Amino acid sequence: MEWLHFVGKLHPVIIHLPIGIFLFTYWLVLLSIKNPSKYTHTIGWGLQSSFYTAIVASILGYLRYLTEDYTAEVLNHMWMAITTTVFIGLLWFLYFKKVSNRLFNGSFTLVVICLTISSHLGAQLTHGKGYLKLPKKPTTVSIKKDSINLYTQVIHSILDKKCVSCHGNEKQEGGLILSSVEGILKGGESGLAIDFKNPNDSRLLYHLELPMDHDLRMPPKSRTQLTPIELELIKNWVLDGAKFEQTMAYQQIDRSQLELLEEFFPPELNPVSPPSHKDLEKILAHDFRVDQYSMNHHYVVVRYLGDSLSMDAFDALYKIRKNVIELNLNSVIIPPSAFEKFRNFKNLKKLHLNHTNIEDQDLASLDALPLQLVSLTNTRITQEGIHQLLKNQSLEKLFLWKTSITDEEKSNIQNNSVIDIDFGVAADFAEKQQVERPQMVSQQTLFVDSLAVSFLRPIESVDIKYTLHGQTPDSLSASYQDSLWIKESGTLKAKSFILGWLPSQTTEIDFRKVAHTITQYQLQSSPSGTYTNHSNLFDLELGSTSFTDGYWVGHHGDDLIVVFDAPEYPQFSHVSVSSMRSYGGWIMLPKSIKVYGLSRDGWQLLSELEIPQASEKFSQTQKEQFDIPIKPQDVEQYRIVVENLGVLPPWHDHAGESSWVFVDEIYLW
Amino acid sequence: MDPLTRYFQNNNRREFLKKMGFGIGGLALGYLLDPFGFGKNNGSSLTKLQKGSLALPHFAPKAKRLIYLFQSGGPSQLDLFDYKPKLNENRGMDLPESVRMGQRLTGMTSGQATFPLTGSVYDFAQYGESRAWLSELLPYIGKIADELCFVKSMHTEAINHDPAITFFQTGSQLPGRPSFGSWMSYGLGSLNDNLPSFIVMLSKGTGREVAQPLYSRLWGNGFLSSLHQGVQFRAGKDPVLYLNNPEGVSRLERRKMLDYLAQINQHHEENFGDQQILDRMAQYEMAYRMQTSVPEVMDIENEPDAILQMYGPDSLKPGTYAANCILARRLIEKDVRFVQLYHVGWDQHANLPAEVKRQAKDVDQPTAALILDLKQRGLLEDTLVIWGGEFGRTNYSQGILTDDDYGRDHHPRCFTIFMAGGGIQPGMTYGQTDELGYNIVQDPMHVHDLQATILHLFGIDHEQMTYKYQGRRFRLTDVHGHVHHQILA
Repeated sequence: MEWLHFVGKLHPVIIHLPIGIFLFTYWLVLLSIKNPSKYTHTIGWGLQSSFYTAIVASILGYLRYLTEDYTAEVLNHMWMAITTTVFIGLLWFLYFKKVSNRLFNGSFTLVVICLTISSHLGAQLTHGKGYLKLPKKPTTVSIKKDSINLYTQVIHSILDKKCVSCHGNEKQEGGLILSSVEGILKGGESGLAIDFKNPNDSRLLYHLELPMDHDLRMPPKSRTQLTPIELELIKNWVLDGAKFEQTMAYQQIDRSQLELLEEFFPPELNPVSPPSHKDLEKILAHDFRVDQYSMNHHYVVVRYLGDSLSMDAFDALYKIRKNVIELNLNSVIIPPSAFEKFRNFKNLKKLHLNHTNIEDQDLASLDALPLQLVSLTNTRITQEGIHQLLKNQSLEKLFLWKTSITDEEKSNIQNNSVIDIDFGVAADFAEKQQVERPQMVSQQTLFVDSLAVSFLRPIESVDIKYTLHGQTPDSLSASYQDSLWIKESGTLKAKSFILGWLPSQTTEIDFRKVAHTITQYQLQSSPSGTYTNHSNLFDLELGSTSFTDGYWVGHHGDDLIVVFDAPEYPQFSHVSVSSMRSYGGWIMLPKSIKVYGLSRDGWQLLSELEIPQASEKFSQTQKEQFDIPIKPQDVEQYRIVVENLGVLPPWHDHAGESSWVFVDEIYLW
Repeated sequence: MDPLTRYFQNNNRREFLKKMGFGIGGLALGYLLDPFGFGKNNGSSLTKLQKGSLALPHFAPKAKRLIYLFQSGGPSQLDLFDYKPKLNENRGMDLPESVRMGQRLTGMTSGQATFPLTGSVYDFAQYGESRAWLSELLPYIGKIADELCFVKSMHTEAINHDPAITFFQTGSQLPGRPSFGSWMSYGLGSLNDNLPSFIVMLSKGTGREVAQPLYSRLWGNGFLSSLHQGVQFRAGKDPVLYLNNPEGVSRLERRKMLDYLAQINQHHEENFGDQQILDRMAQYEMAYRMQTSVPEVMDIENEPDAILQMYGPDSLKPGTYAANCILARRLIEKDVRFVQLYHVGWDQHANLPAEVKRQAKDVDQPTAALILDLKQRGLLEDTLVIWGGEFGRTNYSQGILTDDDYGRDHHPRCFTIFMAGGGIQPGMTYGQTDELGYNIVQDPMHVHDLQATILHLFGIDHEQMTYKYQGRRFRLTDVHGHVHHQILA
């Protein structure tokens, strides 16, 4: 039975074979009127093929008739089709008989007419009766402005548009008729369409809400689907008890349902008439911005672009008050007499009055409006005003950040209200943040006379406190203004403060006042690679941790040896050498730094610093300064030897290779 | 002028007038050029507007403005949102072929001998009344979980960064189509006369030193009018390049110069009827207005301390994600239609645990603060916020899996994004992935579906918003996309 049912389903497919072949044959017959013998053979073949396939199609059709539910109407199609099949057979017979052309062609034409009628009847069964009808004017639904019958005005028209072609009087798939009240109440073979006890379990909804790919989904995947709004309307109607007779006044319908209805009805049926061109021109000239809410509405969304609203401007807007669904007057000074007139904006749903001069008593005029959302952030509204406003039953959301409502009153209001009230972000949302530590604009730390230091100031309210003598800065320390002057060697400590934030960590910077700029020098070693720019050794500018930045002078395997003239008036106590180490760059700290002086006795070692070396792998690239104490002596020249470690130590991945030594600055202080 | 040229001119003119008069492009353009334009028709002007068959919005919109917080690089959903204890149980196990089912991998891991599964080293917990799962890396997002809708079943077709981002931004993996923001500007017009309707800001994450670059074509207008192009606002002194008058040129002189230039252009337009001339004129005027509007909106120094605190310590550093979030809110307050942030550096192929922690910290507090800040100003009602990247990351380790270190490759088959505001159902988790976080088992949402759903929130039927170019009507969603009504409020 099951597979007979399935095979029967092939009827609408197979049926096109005999129709096609037969009509093609007829075409050949017409072509050969003038030249009778031209296609004779093919015509015979065509008649034979269409006859056989017609028999197959008829059998399938009969199976379909047995296994599907059709009304008696199907019988017309069946007998007509069987007759046509027989006629095709007879035509074939006539063909063999070689009857006269006139008789043959005439009979052929008659059978074609027969075929057309029977196929048309069949097509009506598959596609529905209205399939071939010329597009008719959509039935106009008359809307009374004040009330509505959901079934006749809404549900019926949806079903009519999307369902009835398969579930109507002509074709009753699953035995279900959705075109009449009786049909809906009767339901289909698999049960009631609407379950009045548990509306949620209604089969009507079940089929509408199945996933698109489900076999039982209605309308089926290939057909025009319900829009979300139509589905929602049907659902609401069923859940509400599927009332056929009830007529409801608009005031009784709840808001979300009203919104759906407004979307459903074409704009001509909207209760509000469109604003006039003249009014709009005027409003726009008054510096309002007007946007249409949607193509299905005559509502508009209005925002005032200026700072101060004149009564003239407001009166211009007042002309289209019924069209205004949303009004935005944020940061606008509103004339007090305008508030009173708000009560006539009968369709106003959203009202934005942030940063305005609205007062408690002005809220009284909002009582009867269908407002859903009111925002009053940063206004002088107090608890009294809010109590007044909350009398409005339609209200859903209220924004009251930065109003004159105390914390105590806030919780009071919140507890006594069912709607969503926003008082702003809770004070404990963000943990107290630490300010970033101060950063110097320039990295210069060596100077001769004095040095102007300035800090980056990402934001004006940052207070940067600093000390120059080693103490950690606190709120009493000196405040950094635009710049500060460093005149002595020492450590600058600075800290950023912002009210309400945690103070930053301390920035520590060592400044060195250099006693003497070395201009005459002689490099006695030869730097390697591209790190040969030795004029940078005495320019008082330190390099970064990147040894390729141009400030660094590098020696591969060799020591750095430099000789310079002693200053005439020696006033210094240290020779400093700035160096670095980098594991990946094979750069090690110097093994030692030796300072020689040239006097009458020749070169003499004046001071020496042994530098402890790392004993294991290190990951960070580091700069380091080495200060070699030295007594001013009567010498003509100094010679500095920065001793290269020579080879990489055993723990290094490249142990045994020549190591590098890098120096960016040598200075006296 | 010879008759042939005149004929073509007239043809152009007719084309142009047609577009101005009836086409949807005309509406948006007309509005940008002349906000009063629609008032100049005879009869009821709004009715006139409605009669256009492509007029927008098609239905009442839930959202008017959009902030798209694009997380460039592909955030690891498995370390942030999609909790998979099964992955932790099966740590180190090879990804079963029954799960992978031969799906393609990038060249970065396709040569790997094994695909060792790895869960997150970070703990997960449930937040809010909606009990949304989040990792410990996102404590602030956790605080606002009930405002958010997490989509755990996003999937895309692209597997590498640029095609994937281009796909999200333009609906096509190949460059050349208009960006999302451009489509919005084209379809809905500008809400603001003094700022572009599509503004873009970039920030660099701390997660990864060298991040994937972004091309400015991502916010390009493609074949749409140049009026709809995204405008990049940079951090620092000159937010929009070449906007200020050259030294020695006063605003008054600039005005005079523009007026003369407009006369010349007008003349030229009368002779040639080329729409691009009008576009260019409008751009000059917009730039002139931006000379004053941009500095005003970019000046965040007057933001109260409490607000800066809310967005976190980075809010004081121009060019950071936090600072951009504050700017985004300021732009939205000015009614800019589409603000797009890109935060780069989410591409953790190796060293993921350390990098993703820093990267998540960049965005956690500012994102939460932005959403709450919009909310307390009543702006979240009609502003849609989207947070998400171009794809997800694999459930197996790229490179060697150690006790506390792993990497993850690109994974387009499932990833998580979240949205808030503008008609999205708050406190919801949509879609589900399998136990191993590889494939989607419920409610898959394709990139085109997301685009269709977002357009729906703006009152646009994504199949109806088209632009005819080179003989074809183009859509943001190409020939795909379904609106997912389940996530709508």
